[in-house]
Amino acid sequence: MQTLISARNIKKSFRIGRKKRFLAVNDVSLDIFKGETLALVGESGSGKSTLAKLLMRLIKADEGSIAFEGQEIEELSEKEMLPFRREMQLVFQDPASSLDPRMNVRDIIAEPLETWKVYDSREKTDERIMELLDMVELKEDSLKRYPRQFSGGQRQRISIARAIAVNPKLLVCDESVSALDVCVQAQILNLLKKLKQEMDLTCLFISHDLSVVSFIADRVCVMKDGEICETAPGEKLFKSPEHEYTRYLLSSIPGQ
Amino acid sequence: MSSSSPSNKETVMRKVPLFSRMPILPPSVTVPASIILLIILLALLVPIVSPYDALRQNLTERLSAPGTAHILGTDALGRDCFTRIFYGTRISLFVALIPTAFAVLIGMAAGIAAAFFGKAADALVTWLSDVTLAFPGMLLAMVIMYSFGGSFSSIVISIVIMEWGSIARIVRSVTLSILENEYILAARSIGVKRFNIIIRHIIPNLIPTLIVLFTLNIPASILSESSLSFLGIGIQPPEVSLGLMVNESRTLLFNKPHLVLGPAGMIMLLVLSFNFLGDALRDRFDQEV
Amino acid sequence: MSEDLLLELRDLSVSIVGKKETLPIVKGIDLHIPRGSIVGLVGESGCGKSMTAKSINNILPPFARVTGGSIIWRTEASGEVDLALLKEKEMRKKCGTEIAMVFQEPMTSLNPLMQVGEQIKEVLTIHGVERDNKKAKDRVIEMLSKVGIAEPALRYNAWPHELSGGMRQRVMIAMAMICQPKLLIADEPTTALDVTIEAQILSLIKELCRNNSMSALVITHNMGVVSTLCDYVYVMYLGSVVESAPVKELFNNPCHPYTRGLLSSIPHVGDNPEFLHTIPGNVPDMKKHFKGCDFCLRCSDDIKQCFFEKPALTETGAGHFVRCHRSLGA
Repeated sequence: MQTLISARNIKKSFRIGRKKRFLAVNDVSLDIFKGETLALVGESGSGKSTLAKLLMRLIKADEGSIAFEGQEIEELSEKEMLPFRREMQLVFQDPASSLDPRMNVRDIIAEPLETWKVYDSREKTDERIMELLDMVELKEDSLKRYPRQFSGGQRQRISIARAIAVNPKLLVCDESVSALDVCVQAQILNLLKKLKQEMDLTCLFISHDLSVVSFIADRVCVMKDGEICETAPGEKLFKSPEHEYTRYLLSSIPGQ
Repeated sequence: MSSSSPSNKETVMRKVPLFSRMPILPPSVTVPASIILLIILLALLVPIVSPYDALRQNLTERLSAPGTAHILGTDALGRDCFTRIFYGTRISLFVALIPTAFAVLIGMAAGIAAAFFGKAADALVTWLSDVTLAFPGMLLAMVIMYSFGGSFSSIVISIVIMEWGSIARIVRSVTLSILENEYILAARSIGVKRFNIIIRHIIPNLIPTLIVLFTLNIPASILSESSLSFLGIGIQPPEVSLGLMVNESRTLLFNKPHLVLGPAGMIMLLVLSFNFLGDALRDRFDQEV
Repeated sequence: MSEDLLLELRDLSVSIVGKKETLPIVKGIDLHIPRGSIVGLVGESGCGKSMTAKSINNILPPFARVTGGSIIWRTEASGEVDLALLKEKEMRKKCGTEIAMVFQEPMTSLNPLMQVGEQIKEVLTIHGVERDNKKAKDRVIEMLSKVGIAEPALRYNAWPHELSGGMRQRVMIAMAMICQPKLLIADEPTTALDVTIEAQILSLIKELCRNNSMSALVITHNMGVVSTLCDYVYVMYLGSVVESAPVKELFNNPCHPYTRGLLSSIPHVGDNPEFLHTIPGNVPDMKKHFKGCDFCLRCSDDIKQCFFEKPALTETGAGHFVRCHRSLGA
C-alpha cells in the first residue's frame, strides 16, 4: 500500500499560563495509507484534534516531519503550502459555525472551486455544484438558501459537499457526526462511506465515539495524553484489544 | 439500501413553502426611519417647494412674527426661518453623513488590520486610537478648525479624527469573535488567500455592526458640526447651518424664541431619530445572531 | 397503583406562546414516575423532551407555557399537589428541596466566582435546611465524598475552573443531592463528558438512587445511556410519546417503527454492516398540522389509515404502550 501522509516524531506543545507548557502531541509517528479510513480515537484532551491540524499544517509542529505523498510539508511557508491545501479538506464538528452565515449554499460550495479556478466559466461551476448537491443528497432548491435555514444534518451535508468539491486526496472529519442526532448521524455516516467508495478518498476520521469508529474505520489509532497507545485494524482492535487503555475505553461504552 | 433517498412523501411535505416570511420591521425601526426620510426629502425639495430664498435678505420684513406668510417668522435680516431650517438641515446632514462614512471606513480598516495582522498591527492601531480618544474631541476639533480655518474639509477631518478610534475598537473586537468561527478555519484549509478571507467572510459578517455604528455615530457628527458652527468656528455665514442659526438668533432668545427653538428643535429631532434608529437596528441584528 | 407514583404527568401540553399564534411543542403526554425507579425520556433534539422536564419544576423559558394537563406530585409531606397550578414561589416553597435538577453543561451551571463547596452550602442555607454554618459545611463535605470526589475537604475550597468536566458534573450532582430530593431530573447529564467519565457518572447516579430511595427522570438522546441506567423508557417523537415500555422489553421488542429505526441506526462495536439502517427524510416542521400519524411520512410500514387518523397510545403487552395503527393489528 502507498502512503499518503507520513508523520515522524511530531511534537506540539501549547503555553498555558506564564511558564507552564502543555504537551498536546508527544512524539507521534503515524502513516495514513491511500484509500483507507484511519480513525483517531481518544478522550477530550488526548490531542487527536491537534494531531489532525498538525497533519493538515493548519498549525505548525514544534518538532518532527510530515510528508504528503513523499514531499516534505512541515517546513513550507503558508504560501508554499497553498497547492497542498487543495489535496486535503476538512469537515468540522459544529455545523453551525463551520458555514459562513452570510453566504448562500451556492457560494459556500463554489468557494473552493473558485479559489482553485477549477472551471473557467460560471456555468461549469454551477453544473459541478449541482452534481455535488446530488452526491450529498440535497435538493436543488437548496442553492439560494442560507445555512440557518437548514437542520444540523443538512448543514453537515453542505460542509461535505464543500470539502469534496475539488476532489481532494484526503478528507479529514473532525468529530463530524458527534453533534448530530442518531438518525441523522447514521445518514451522514452512510453518506461518508458511500462517497469514500465512489471517490477513492482517503479519510482521517476523528471521533470519541468508539461505536461510530467501529462502523467506518479500516484502521484505528487510540490516543491518550498526546501519545498513540495502540494502532490496529478495526476488527482486530475491537475484538482483541491489546493495550489496557483500549480495553478500558471499550468497557466504558454504555449499553454494550 | 435504506439510506436516505428523498422519497415521494417528503416532496409532498415540502410543497408548503418553508420560508415565506418577509422580514416585517417593527415600529421601533420604521418610525425613526420614516421621520429621517421625510426630513431628507424636505431638505432636498426645499428649493423647489419654498417660495423664499434662504440667503436673500429682505429688510422690510425683519423679525416678522410666525404667521401664514412665514410659518416660523423671519430672522433679523428678514429671511424666512422655516426655509432656512431646511437649508441648514441639508448642510448638517451632509456634514454628518460624509465624515461618519469616512470614520466608519477608516475604523473598519484599522479594526480588521488590528485583529487580523498580528500583534504589531494590533499594538499600533490600539495605540493610535487611544491617543485620539485621550484628547477631548471638541478641543481637538477646535485646534484643527483654528489652524485650517472653518472650511467644509476641516469639519470633515476633525469629525473623522474624533470618531474613528472608538469605531476601530469595536470593529476589532467583533472581528476577533468572527475569527473564532470554524468557517474561517474552513476557508483557510480550502486554501483561500488571506485577502479573500477578509473580503468574503469578515466584511460581510461585519456589515450589521457597521450599519449600527454608522447610524449611532451620525448624531454625534450632527452635534459636533452644530456645536462648532454655534461657536463660530464651523460653517461660516452666509452659508446656512442649524448651529449657526442658533448662534445668530441667540440674542433674541427671549423676544423671538421661535428663531432659536426652530433650528434647535430640528437638531434634536435629527439626533433623536438617528439614535432611536441605531438602537432599534442593533437590537434587531442582535436577535438575528 | 397511583399511590406508588411519585410524579404523574396527565395529558400535559406545553406550547410556545407568540403574539399571534401558539405552537404546541409537547402535545398531551402522560408520564409516570414510580417511587424509587429511574425513568428515561428519549428522543431526537426538538422532540420536546427537555421542555417536558422543565415544565415539571417550572423552569420553562419565558416564551413557553404549560397550556394543559396536570403535573401530580405525591409525597407524604405535601400530599397530592398539582404542580402546574402552583405559582413559582409556592412551587419553590413546596418542593424546592424535593425536586433537584442536573444539566448537561457543568461549566455554565456553576458560578465561576464562587468556591464549589460554598455553592453547595448555599443550597442548604437558602432552603433553610441547615442554618448552622459548621454543620452545613460538614454535610457538604460528606456529600462530596459520596459523589466520589477524592479529598473532599480540600476540594470544598476549589474554584470551578480548577475542576475537570467529570468533577464538575459530580459537584452538580452533589449540589442536587444535598437536600435529599425525592426526584432527580437529569437533562442529558453525560452528553458533554468522555465515555470513561460517562460510565462513572452513570453508575454514580444509579447508586445514589438505590441508596437514597430516590427516583430519577433521565432525559437523553443516547440509547446506550437508557439501557444502562433506566428501568422504564418513554420514546418521544414530535411532542408526543410514541412508545413506552420497561427497558428490556423496549430493546428486545420495539414495536413502533420510529423506535425500531432509532435503535437500528446506532452503530455497535462488534457488528459491521455495510451501511447503517436509517429513517428516511428529516423530522418534519412542528408548525405544520397533519391529521394523520406524525411519523407516517417517514414510515416504511404505513397503511392507508395512517394518513387520515392519529393513532392512540395503546397497551400491547405488560406495561408496553405503542402509538401505531400497525401494532394494533389494523
